[in-house]
Amino acid sequence: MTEPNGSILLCADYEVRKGDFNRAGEVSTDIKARLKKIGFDPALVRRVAIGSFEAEMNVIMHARRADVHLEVTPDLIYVEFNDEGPGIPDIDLAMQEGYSTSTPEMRRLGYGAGIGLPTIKRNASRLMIESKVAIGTVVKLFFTP
Amino acid sequence: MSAQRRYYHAVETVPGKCDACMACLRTCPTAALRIRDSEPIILEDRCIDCGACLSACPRKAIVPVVDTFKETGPFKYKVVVPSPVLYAQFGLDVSLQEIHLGLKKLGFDYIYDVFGACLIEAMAVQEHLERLESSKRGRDRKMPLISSMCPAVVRLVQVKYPTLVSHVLPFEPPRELSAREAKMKVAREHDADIRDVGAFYISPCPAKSISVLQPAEKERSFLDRSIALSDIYMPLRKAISEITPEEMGTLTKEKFVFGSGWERTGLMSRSLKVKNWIAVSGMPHVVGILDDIEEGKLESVAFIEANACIEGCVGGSLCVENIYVARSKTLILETEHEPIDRPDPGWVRQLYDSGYFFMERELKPRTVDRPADSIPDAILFMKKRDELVGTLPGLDCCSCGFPSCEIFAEEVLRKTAGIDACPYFKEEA
Repeated sequence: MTEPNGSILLCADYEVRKGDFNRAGEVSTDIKARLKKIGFDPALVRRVAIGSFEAEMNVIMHARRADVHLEVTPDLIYVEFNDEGPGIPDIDLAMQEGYSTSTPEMRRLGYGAGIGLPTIKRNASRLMIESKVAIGTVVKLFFTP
Repeated sequence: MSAQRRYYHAVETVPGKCDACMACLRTCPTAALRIRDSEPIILEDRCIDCGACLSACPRKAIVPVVDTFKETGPFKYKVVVPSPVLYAQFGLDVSLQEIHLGLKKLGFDYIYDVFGACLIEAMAVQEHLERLESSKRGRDRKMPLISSMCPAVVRLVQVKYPTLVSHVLPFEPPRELSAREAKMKVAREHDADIRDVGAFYISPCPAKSISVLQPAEKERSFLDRSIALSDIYMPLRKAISEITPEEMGTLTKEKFVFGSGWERTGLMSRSLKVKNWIAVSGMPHVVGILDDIEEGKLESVAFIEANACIEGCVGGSLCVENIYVARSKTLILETEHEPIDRPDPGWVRQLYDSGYFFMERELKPRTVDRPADSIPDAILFMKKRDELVGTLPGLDCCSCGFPSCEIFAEEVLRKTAGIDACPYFKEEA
């Protein structure tokens, strides 16, 4: 599987900001609404919604901001979260269920159980993470119908 | 009204009243309204009869359509099933006895409240949840379950959340159970045909009125007519004011109860013994919760009580009394009256097993417009829509007569609207 290329049909761009809990989930809800309207299989729409929501929450909790880019083709739904943030020093460790770098404040808000990335991985057909410490992280979610 | 109509509605427009303020467009949760030539148009397939537009319209250009209480029909025996909200529309000086006597003076032979039905249905929901819980290994359970009590919410799910239709509690609401019970009882008592017994519902909202005319899940309602609370209110007030002491005497042997009803949001959930429930009211909040369920965020919740009107049925758009005054009255009535005795759980379990509570038919999603039949065509349509939306002001000002720039763009692409309907659109030079 490669990144979507010439067959791209529909794109949308969003921005997510640090600590913006009031608007948390707006991006994933909008993505869901678009896919639902197009008429994709509800099970697929749900997977994209869950995966995108977790990625969105990661930005809100850990990064400064992120550009979110959505590409929809009949055969592939691609969501990219490109953030400016602390980066992930050890991606393999971050992928482990229960591993968390959340602060006590985040945990008090009910987040930070260390299941974000594993949940994304479970729902996406493919997940790619590229990260540079102190610069940022690019999380790429691929969903195939 | 043509007999071929797919959906009947409890709201209609009054020609010449609309001043195109667009308040209704902004409030409709399913985008079922348009304004053309200063007249509101209700889209039949999309309208869920929640009544939001009735409350929003400052000029009464959209009004409820309900049977008036004078049309009580050819029935030999007339049973009235009042929504518990009715009792909260009068001051504290008017007793339940007087309200019942007033209803009798208006021509009803029997008054059958919904409190008993609410009580046994709560126990049955409990039973249903426990059985779902024990079958969860089968992965066939749908969590959370959504209450079927508010018909506007049931229709909202059908129109906007087709994948959640299987989450709706497959039970008849208490008003239907009460009507069925009452008709059978009266027919038995008089050795009469059940068709000679008419059941009339006093409804706090257009959604419940329309659920009597056209139920979402079966051919016919057990209720024969629905009367708008706002329509019967003044005649009932008058009847109550004319009650004589002798007439009061005729009622003393009747037992009056108030409690275990679901007229306020939260009452139903609290009567269930489940730990994890959510009670939500008001359309925007209901939509938020349904979005969360759809996105898989509330799977640990067992039960959702959702009511379209703020605070629940006390906030219905056919109610007369201020919602918070009515709400307080229900709280006072509850403390003044002894709770009804809980029936034997074994008996309720038997009823459950016999299918007593279950809807006749499975609830089906309502199909509303798809952008196109195939996914590639739909994506292309959405892409063109997004491009067109990019050239619009994006204010969702509704000046074009459509609820949002997105919907306007879709209608332009379908050629059902002209781009010049947007006062801000400028053709790029």
